[in-house]
Amino acid sequence: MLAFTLKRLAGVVPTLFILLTATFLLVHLAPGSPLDGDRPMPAEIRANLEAKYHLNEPLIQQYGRYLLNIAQLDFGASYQYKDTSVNDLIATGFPVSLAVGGFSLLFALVIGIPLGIIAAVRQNKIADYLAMGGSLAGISVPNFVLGPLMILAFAVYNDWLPAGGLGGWQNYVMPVLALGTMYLAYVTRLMRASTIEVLRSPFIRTARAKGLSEMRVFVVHVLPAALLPVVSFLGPGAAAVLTGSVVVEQIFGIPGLGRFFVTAALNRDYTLVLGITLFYGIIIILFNLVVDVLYGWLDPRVAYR
Amino acid sequence: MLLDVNNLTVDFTTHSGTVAAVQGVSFAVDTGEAVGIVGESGSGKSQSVLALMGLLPDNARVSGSARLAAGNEQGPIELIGAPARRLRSVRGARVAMIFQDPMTALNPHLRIGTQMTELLRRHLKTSRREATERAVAMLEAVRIPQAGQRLKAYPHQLSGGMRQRVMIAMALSCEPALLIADEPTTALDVTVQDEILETIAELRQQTRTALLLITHDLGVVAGQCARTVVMQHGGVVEQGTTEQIFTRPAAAYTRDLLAAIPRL
Repeated sequence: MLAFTLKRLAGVVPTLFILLTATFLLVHLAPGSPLDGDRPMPAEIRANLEAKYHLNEPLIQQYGRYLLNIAQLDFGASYQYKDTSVNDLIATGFPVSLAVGGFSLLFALVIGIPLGIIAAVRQNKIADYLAMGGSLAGISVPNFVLGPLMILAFAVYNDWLPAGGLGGWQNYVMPVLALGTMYLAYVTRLMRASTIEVLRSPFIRTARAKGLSEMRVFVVHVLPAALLPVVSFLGPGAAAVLTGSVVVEQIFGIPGLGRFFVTAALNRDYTLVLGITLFYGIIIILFNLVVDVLYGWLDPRVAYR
Repeated sequence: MLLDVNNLTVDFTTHSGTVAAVQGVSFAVDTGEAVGIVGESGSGKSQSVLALMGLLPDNARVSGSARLAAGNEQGPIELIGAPARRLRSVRGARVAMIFQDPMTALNPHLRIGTQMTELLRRHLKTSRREATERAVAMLEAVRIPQAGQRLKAYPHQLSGGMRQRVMIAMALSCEPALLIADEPTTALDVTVQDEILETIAELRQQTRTALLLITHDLGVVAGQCARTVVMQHGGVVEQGTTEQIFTRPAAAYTRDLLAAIPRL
């Protein structure tokens, strides 16, 4: 397992290199420059600024310079936020995004897994229909619809929760619900389907034929097998939560990474876009690695090579 | 009499109406006796024994009677309609089962040792160490080499024949009075089939365990069972000693079955 993990970690570097190069080319290919603003800039000042940020150099030279900085784990200075390095912006924005995304996933798992199990055990009964109907609605309503609707209901018509910004825990409630509902719905359906399948499998009949208690049959024999699809969903799920947080942070005015990412893209803040992309890339790759290791631990048939 | 089944009936409620899987089946198994149930697929042989064990899905309705000798001073236990608690204390302890496909009958996520010891600990109330020792002894009894190390193996690391041996070792580990074997050799290679049947016969001789062998293979029954029950369409066509069934079959269906055995 250690060799497997190290091998996978070694594969991270080339993956990130490709990601970095593609993103670098794309942002520089996009029309406009970080120096374009609302008002035209005198040519002299523009030339000075371009020289300062090395924007007048050939692309390949800029690329080389950027790679050199990255190798030293320096994402460079932001164009937009004066005197702030991209490292600092990530350091302030990530904990906020991590809280929103992490709690959303946690919310989805903590509610979705038991709900899926209940729906599976009470298959084709009222609890099952309620859970499946609810999750269909949850999957169908996108977070950019759910978010504003919740703001209307809980912040505008009723003064229960703050509409946006970041203060106490109350500020997290609506973003987490808006972001997490879809994953809750997804996890519920996934867990229901896999539990039903496992319950029908011959080895569960064997376990029952051994006279084990229903509790032991469920916890020891059904649950680990039924959790596998949910575990493999966590990899892409975490990636989806990251992209989802871009929208949700915008709706609720939360100063997280997602919000920085959107404004950076709009302002052609090359270094910030690149920095956050690379950072997201690292997070997603690491998370998938953790999921793979976890999967192998749950399913002994998976061989680490 | 160890097991006395009387007028056993199984119905399944489905979307398209009620399906009668077993219709008034009666047979008996004596202590230490081997009885074969033969018949084509869908004749209700598996459903009958699953009904005895209370292992049918929720949409099954079971009626009739199946009385199992308790093995102590108390009178026989009625299995049909028995509370789940009583059934659980019978399963694995008094009556054990092995299934057709050893590839899927063992839990792929748990080590062999875990699956064997959880049964022993449930019924014999032994310590973890005693359970492990007993599991090793049982694996050795079914001739699995390096039994101690095999306990740490997962099912996928063993061959099909090995897995069925593990199933047999596990089923017999609590010394049940009755072993129900549901097509135990159907999924295995022909060469392995004989070994598995021999293993069962050998262990039964030592422990005086009765056998209820379900199969569609008359050859298997001829070699193993003193008495034979022939089933078709959810009912018993005829039953008697195996010799009588093979030499003087009364029912036309039995004659058809016998005629279907290829001869050289």
